[in-house]
This record gives sequence, structure tokens and C-alpha cells, in this order.
Amino acid sequence: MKIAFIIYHEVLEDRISEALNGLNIDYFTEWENVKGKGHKTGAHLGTRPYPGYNCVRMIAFPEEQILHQLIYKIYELNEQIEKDDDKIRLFQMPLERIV
Amino acid sequence: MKLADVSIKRPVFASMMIFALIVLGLFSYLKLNVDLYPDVDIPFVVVTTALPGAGPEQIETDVTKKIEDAVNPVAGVDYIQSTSQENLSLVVIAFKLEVDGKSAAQDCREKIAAIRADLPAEIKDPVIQRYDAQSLPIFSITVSGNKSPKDITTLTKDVIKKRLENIPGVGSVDLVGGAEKEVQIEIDAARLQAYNLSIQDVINSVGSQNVEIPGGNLTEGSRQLLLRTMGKYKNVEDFNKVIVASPNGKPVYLSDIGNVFDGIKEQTSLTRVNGKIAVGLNIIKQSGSNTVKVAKEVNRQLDILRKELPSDIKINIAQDNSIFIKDSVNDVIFDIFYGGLLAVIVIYLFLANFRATIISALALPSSIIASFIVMYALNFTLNMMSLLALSLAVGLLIDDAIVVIENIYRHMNEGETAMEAAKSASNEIGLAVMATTFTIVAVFVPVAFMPGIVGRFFYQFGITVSVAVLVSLFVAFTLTPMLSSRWLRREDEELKKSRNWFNNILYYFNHFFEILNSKYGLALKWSLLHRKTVVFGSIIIFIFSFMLMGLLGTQFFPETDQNQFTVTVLAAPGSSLEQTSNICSQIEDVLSRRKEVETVLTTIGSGNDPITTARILAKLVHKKDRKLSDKEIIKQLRSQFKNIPGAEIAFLPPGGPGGAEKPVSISVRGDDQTKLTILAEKVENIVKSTKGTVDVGNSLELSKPEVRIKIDREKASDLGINPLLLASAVRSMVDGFVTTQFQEGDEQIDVRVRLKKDNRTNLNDLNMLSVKSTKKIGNQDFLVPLSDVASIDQGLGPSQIKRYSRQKEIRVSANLSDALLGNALGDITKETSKLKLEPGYSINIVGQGQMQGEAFMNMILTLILAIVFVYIVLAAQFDSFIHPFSIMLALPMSIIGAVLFLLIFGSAMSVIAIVGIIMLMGLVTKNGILLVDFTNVLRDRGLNRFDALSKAGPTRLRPILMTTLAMIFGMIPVALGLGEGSEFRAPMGQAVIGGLVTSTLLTLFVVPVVYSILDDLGEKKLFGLIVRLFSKKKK
Repeated sequence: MKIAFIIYHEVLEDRISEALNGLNIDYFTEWENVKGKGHKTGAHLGTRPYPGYNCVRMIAFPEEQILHQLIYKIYELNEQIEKDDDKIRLFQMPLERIV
Repeated sequence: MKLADVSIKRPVFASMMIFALIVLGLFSYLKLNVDLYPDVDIPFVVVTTALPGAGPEQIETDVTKKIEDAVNPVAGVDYIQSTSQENLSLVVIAFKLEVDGKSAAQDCREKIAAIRADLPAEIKDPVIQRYDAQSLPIFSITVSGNKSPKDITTLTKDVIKKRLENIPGVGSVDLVGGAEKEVQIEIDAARLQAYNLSIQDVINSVGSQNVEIPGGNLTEGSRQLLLRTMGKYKNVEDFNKVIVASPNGKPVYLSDIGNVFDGIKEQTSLTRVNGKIAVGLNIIKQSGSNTVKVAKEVNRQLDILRKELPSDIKINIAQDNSIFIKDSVNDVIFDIFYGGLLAVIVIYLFLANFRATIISALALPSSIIASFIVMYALNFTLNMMSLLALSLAVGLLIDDAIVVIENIYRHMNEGETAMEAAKSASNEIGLAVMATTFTIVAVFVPVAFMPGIVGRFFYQFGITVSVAVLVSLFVAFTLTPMLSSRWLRREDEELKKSRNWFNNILYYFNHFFEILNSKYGLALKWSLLHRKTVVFGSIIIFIFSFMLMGLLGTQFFPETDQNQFTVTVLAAPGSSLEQTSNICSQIEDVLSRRKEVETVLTTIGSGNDPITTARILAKLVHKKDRKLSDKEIIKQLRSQFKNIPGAEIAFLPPGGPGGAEKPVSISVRGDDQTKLTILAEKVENIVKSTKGTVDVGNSLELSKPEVRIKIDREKASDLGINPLLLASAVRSMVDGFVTTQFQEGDEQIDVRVRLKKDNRTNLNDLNMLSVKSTKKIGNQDFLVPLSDVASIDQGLGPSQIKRYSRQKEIRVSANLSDALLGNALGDITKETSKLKLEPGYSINIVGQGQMQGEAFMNMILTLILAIVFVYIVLAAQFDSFIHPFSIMLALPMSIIGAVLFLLIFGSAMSVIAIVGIIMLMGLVTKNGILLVDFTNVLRDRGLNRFDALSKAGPTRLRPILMTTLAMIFGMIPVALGLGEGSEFRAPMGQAVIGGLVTSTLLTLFVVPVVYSILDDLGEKKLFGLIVRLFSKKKK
């Protein structure tokens, strides 16, 4: 079992939703207005120099196959996004138990 | 930006908000009244008191001074002006602007009522009215035909006048000229004397025998009958049967001592249209009613009347103010439309994207239409000032949308979808857009609340611009991002693929811009490395512009060609109506020979004017259809009129906010009339010798010849002659006395008793007049010849006496030809200051000159206030006390261009041009905000100052140039001043365009340089301490 955190710029909300819907992933937990700054991606801190916020979606995957499909989709999306600042990040971790 | 996010997420909600504003705006627009200028309440109260037969000196002593003394203690009086002329006292009480006109008039009424008993018994009740700038005639017609003047006058008075008076919105209709009916009883002085009768006997007999008095009710059984004494004359001939006296039981009939005939009143006014005698009607609208609507209804009624009246009766429209108003309004709408179109073309050139252009262009109509809601709510009208505000705002209204959509488009070019770009770009640029809008509001709110009368005229202007830009800000955060998120798409690929001529233009324009941008980047870097050169260069240019300012003349308001002008004729005092009319005929002759003159309307003695005063209105063909301007025509006519003797002939400019008066007006004040006259003559000579002054005159006019009857009081008392009775008898014999009224149909006609003309034409006739003594010889009355109790001589008396603040005043006035008011007044003041004045005597500039001085002073204060407000907004926006200075250094740069453009277009520094410069203070800071805001962002992101400034400039160049060019092109129709009344607003457009050009060019370099200098200063010890105390530390 795996758990994935997808972190993306809030303006990409529609693209992420579309991608998840396309993979029939209708289970997730979402945090809005999250501040963040990456090594290669831009900072979205809700400030004048770094306007905008990030969103985070946490999705648990009992089957890894779907996660792989999602990761593939994220690669695809990042290909389409021209600005490095707005590239989407996915963090994958092992999940020990779902109650 | 919450509002933008909501609008993007809920497009229907956003659309409906804008739709609601548009619907309400259109509804409000239909309800808005149209007028030439805003309805400004100027608290002036005018007291008009008539004392028939009295000369100016008597009027001054017995009426004017008493009224002045009575009203002087009323709270809030600023100054009192008065004119005492033959038969009439006119007192104008000017209150301070904050005083309510209605209550001031009420206070004056109470004060005058309290002294009513002290005023001469023969005065007609004083008429106390609030001055209403709107109460000038808006429409004048003339009635002429093949009938007798008496019949035409009756028809005009009884039918046309009454019909027009019933039109809603019409305040009053004044009849000018014509021949009013009057039953005239002319008495033979010799016969009167032969029968031992006085004129008073005749007056009393005629009056007392023409009565109809109700006698109550008579009850006869069960019936009640009305009792009436039928003593009224049935026809004019009946007056012959009046028994004046019955000495020794033998009746003396009126026919024995005089003649009765159905005549016309002695003419005291005359109207002529294109040389033909006519009856004039001046229509004055009610305060607050709509000029255009009233004029439309008047025209409709006139059409109906033309069908109803006999075919030989011609009704001509001599003056219709609504035409100029409608033309002016249409021309401003033209300016708004074409200004908007040009601004949109600029956007299209820069964005090369049809959809982006449409989206930003939609901000224009939405903002303008939505502004009508507030205009209607605040009871504004569509007038020259509010429409000027909208025409100037065209370039501004689109600004916010441009900045937002340019940023959205930039984000899309970086790979974001329309939806993503709309969200992120709105967030990114939101604060800067808000700051630019608030600086505009910060500038225009002080304009709206500028003190003085001029400030009142600019109230609607300032509020309308402020509201319009605030609405445009709302549109930029709702409609613009919402439409962009749904409809915007990149078109650059299409542009590259389909290369037709039009796309080529767009392609090369953008290619040129890219080159320009890179060159600018290099120039900016050079500037940052050569800061001293840039700063000193700017200072030199600024000093040079101040020197240029010396070349600019000053004037109150720009003069407009209103397709008409008025010639005022002041015939020599003592001139008869016929003599004045002859002089006017000569002028009419000259005017009617000119092909530019369409109609010539002459009125002699209208309103309170004496018969020696005439006004000739020359209506010109439209300015598009003639080669010469009104000023050029006047200049030519002035030299032609010089040869007409017997009158002072001058030209009166059409009334603007400065009023219809000669621009140069100097009030010479003092107590002694002789000394004052000498001083006024000196001032008049100075004015005459001043370059550019024409039509120089003074209010003293020439002295009027007068006959003085000096009563020997002792002799009069011995012979039982009461001076009051003597004076009134003389008046009755010469001027006549209306003793009763004769009813003809529904009409009441005055019956006037006076001596026949042969008995009252020369001085000897006066000596022959007799007055009845209060004593008797035996039981017999006896008459005393006037020569026994009074001496009669001739002399000269002033034809009018003017007073200002309860001191005697002589007004010296002049028109200007090829000279500007400020310059002429400067020259005059320089000379008058050399005159040695006795204590109690003064020389004061009044009228337009005084208003110009006050207005300029108030505007400088407004300018300072606007700059302070801009600083407050910027300091709050940047959270810094220092950064606003780097932006605001662009302000002086704008003055360079404003002055230069005014000089190029040949315009003077006027109230309108100064408002343009105040406006620049808001516009110019916008460019600085965009630059400094982005520089700060880049520095916060870690760039060093040099790199941040070098990057911010080229990045922001596109929106800066787009908004500036949109503003410039939007104002081109205003600046060119091609339409009706457009000369009035043109200097504002010229100043703004000039200021924008130079400030934009210079600020692109000066602002970054000054930014870096101030930043360096922040590192210094003392200055740095202050900066660090209040500013965020930058890397």
C-alpha cells in the first residue's frame, strides 16, 4: 500500500481534478491555501513577491497499479506546463495500514 | 484577489453583476437631464425697487442706501453691489458660498419689510429674488406679421405668451418690444387752467367714476338678488362724458379739456429681427428643469401655434440654447466614442489578439454606463463638466483592464491555460491595479471639493471621474478575468501562419516593440550606471520647462465659438428710443451684409435696461460653414463700428462659467463722486493704453442732461403748495398717471392721464404748468404757476450710480483682442499701482480677473492636496515612506510636456488646463507604480537592485506603453477641439497628452535612477536611520 501527496499550484486545480477523474480516483483528502517552496519549482507563499498558494491532495493507494498510472499522468502534465515554477510534485510513501 | 477568484469560479454571478449595473446605468441615463453647465447654487440675492420718475441720485439716497443699510447686518453677507439708475434701484447682495441661498433671500425679505415704512411711499414693492444662473432666457422668439403692431402685441401677449407659460418647466415668459394698448387721456394745459382745474382733479374724477362695486344681496321675498353698482365704462368714448368738475352747477366734461383715444403705451422697448419690427418673447426656464426638454416642448407648441394662428403671423426662433447644448453633448459623445475606438486600436496593436482586445474594450462601455447610476443618484446632469469627465476618463477606464489582461496574456504565453492565467495574473497584479486606481481617485476627489465658485463647477467633474475609475476597477476584477478565463486564447501562432497585410502590420508592430524593449533595457542599464547624468539632465529639462511657462499666457476659461455674439449699444444719455433705434439700424445694416451672419435680433430697453441700451444678437452660421471664427469677425466689425457716432459700441462674449461680461473689469471705489470720477478716468486711460484692450468703457457713462425743478420752500408754503403734491403733479402732467383700468373683453387696459404732447415738450411748457394750492381765495380753489414757487434749470446728472460694499464705485471694463486676461491685468496692475490713492479710495480687479486669481490660488491648493493624497496612497501601498518619492519624481516631468503642448497648440494656462495638470498627477504615478512594484517583487525574490531594476523596466514597458498610448489616443479628439464648444475642453486634453508623453519617456529612466539613489541614501547614517525606522529592509 502506498500513499501519495500531490502538491501543485492552486491554478492547476482543474487539471489535477481532470487527471484524477480520468483514472477514476475519486478518493482523496485535500488541503487548500498551503504555502510551499521547492528546489526547482517556484514558491507560492501568498505574498506580494510570491503570490498564490499551493494545494495538496493526499491519496491512499491499496493497489500500486493506479498510483503508477497517476505518476505517468503527472509526468504528462508537467510536460505540458511550460513554467518550471508551476510544475507538479508527487511524493510517494509506503502506507502501513488503512483503518 | 478574492473578487477575481469568485468571478472566475462563478461566471454567471459575475456576468449578472455587470449586467445589473448596465441595466441600472441605462435606466439612469434615460432619466438624466441635459444642461450646459452644472446647476450651481450661487447665494446672491437681488433686490429690485422701482420708483417711477426718480433720477439716479434720488434713487441712491431714498432707496438704495436704505436697502443696503438694512441688509448689511444679515449673517453671511460677503459684499453688496448696487446700481441706482433712472426709475430703478438694483441691490445685489452676495453671500458667502456656504450660505443657503433660500434662507439668505428670506432674511433679506424680513430686513426690507422692517424698513418698508422708511422707503418713499410711491415705490413699487421691492422685488427680492435669489439670483439664479439658470434664470437666463433659454429660448427667444419673435412674432411679426402684416397686422398693426398693437394687434400683433395683443395676439402675442394673449395667445402665444399664455400658451408658452403653461409649458411644464417654463418659469416665465417676458415680452419685449411691441405696442401695448393703453387708453390715453390727453389734457390741454390752457383749458385746464381756464376751468381752474388741476391735473389731480382729472385723475380723481376719471378714477372715481369707473367703478363697479358689489352692493351685497337684496332679499326680496324668497329670492335673493345680487346687488351691483354698474359704474364701469363700456367703451373708450364713454370717458369723454366724465364730469371733472361742476363750477356754479355747470358740468365740465372731460371732452371740454382734453381728448380720449385708444392708443398704445409709450414705447420703452423695441425688438427687431433682421431689420423688421417684431414682438419678442424671452422664455426663462424654472430652476432645475431640463433646458433641452423645455425647448423641445416650446418648439412643439410653436408648431401647433403656427397652424392655429393666421397665416400672415410669422413666429421665428431667434435663440434656442438647447441647440448648442445638444450639439455640445453630441460632440462629447463623439469624443468618447472615437477616443474609446482609438484606445481599443492601440490595445489590438500591442496584444495582436482579437479576444483580448474585445475583453478589455468591454470595460469602457460597462464603466461609463455604470457611472450613470451614481450620477443619477447624486442628481447630476449630463453637462459640459460631467461629460468632460467621461471623455477624459475614456483612456483611464480601459487602463485597469489593460494591465490585468496584459498580465493574463503574459501568463498564457508562459504556458498557463486561460483559466490558470486569469487566476494567477489577477492575483499577481491586483494590488498594483488597485494602487493606480486609488491614486487617480486621490487626485480627483480634491478637484471635486475645490473651494470657490469654480470648485462648484468642478464638483460633478471630479466625482464623475472618481466613480467611473472605481467602476472600471470593479470591472477589471470581475468581467475581465471571468471573460479571459472562459474565452481568451493565444492567437500568436495564427498570426505567424496567416500573413496577410493586416497581420503583417501587427507582426511588424510587435517585432518593432521587441526591438524597442531590448533597446530600452540597454538604455536603462546605461542610465543606472550614469545616475548623475540622468538626474542633472532631468533637472535642466525641468528648469527649462519652468522658463517656457513664462511664455504661456493666462486666462480664466478658454473662449468658445458659440456661433453667436452680442453687440451692446450704449447710446448717449438722454437719447430717445428712436435715436437708439437709428444707431442700431446702422449696426444691423453692417451685420446683415456679412454672409456669416444668419439672424440679427435687436432688443432695446429689455428687462431693466433703459432705452439708451440695446443688445444686438448676431447669430452666425455654424463654424464648420464659415472661414472666420467669431473672434475674427468681431475684430473686423470693431473697426467698422468705430465710424458710427452717438454711442458706445462693444461686444459681449457668450456667457460661460465666467459669465457674459467683459473680461477686464476694474472697480474704482471711494466716497466723493468727483474725486472718484477723476481716478476712474486715470484708470480708464491706463486700460486704454494697455496692449490688447478694446471696447474700453466705464459704468459712469456720460452725464445725462436733466431738468431740475428747485422748490422755493418759503414761497411754496405761503402759496399753500405742498412739495410732495407739486412733485406728483409734475410727474402726472409729464409722465402721466395710470388712474384706472378699462376692461375690453378679458383684457384690462391701463387708462393714463397726462398733458397733451404739445404742453410737455420744452422748458417753457414746464413754466406754464400750474399746481393747485391747498389754500382758497374766498371759497374758490386757485392754481399757482410752477414758476411762482420753483425755479427750473438744466444741468447734468449721472445716468447711473454704482456702489460696491456701500462705497461709490465706477467700473472700468474692456474686452480683449489678441491678448490674454492674465497678461492684460498684469500690465494694468503694474500701472495702476503707480497711482497715488487718497485714503478711502481703492482700485480692485473684479469679475473674471478676480475669479481667475481666486480660482488659480484654489487650484494650486488642490494640486498640493492631490500630491499629498497621492503620497498617502503610495506610502500605504508600498508600506514605505521613501518609495513614494521615487515614483512621485515623475510628477514634475509631466509639467514639461504639459507646458510644451499648450504652447504648441497656442493655448493659454486656464482653469481647464490646470485641471489637466492636476489630473496628470494621478496618471503619471501609474507608470511609476508599475515599475517600482515589480522592482520590489523581484528584489524580494532575491535579485539585487541593479538586476531587479533592469528586469522590471522592460517587463513593465508593454503595459506602461499600452496604458499611456490608450490614454493619449483616447484624448486626441478632446485635444484637437473640433466639435461644438470643444475649445472649452481642448487645453485639458493638450496638457494631459503633453504631460503623458514627456513623463512616460522620462520616468522610464528617472524613476529607476531615483529609486536607486534613494536606496543608496538609505545606507547613509542619518537618512538611513529614518528609512530603516519605517521601511522594510531590501537586499
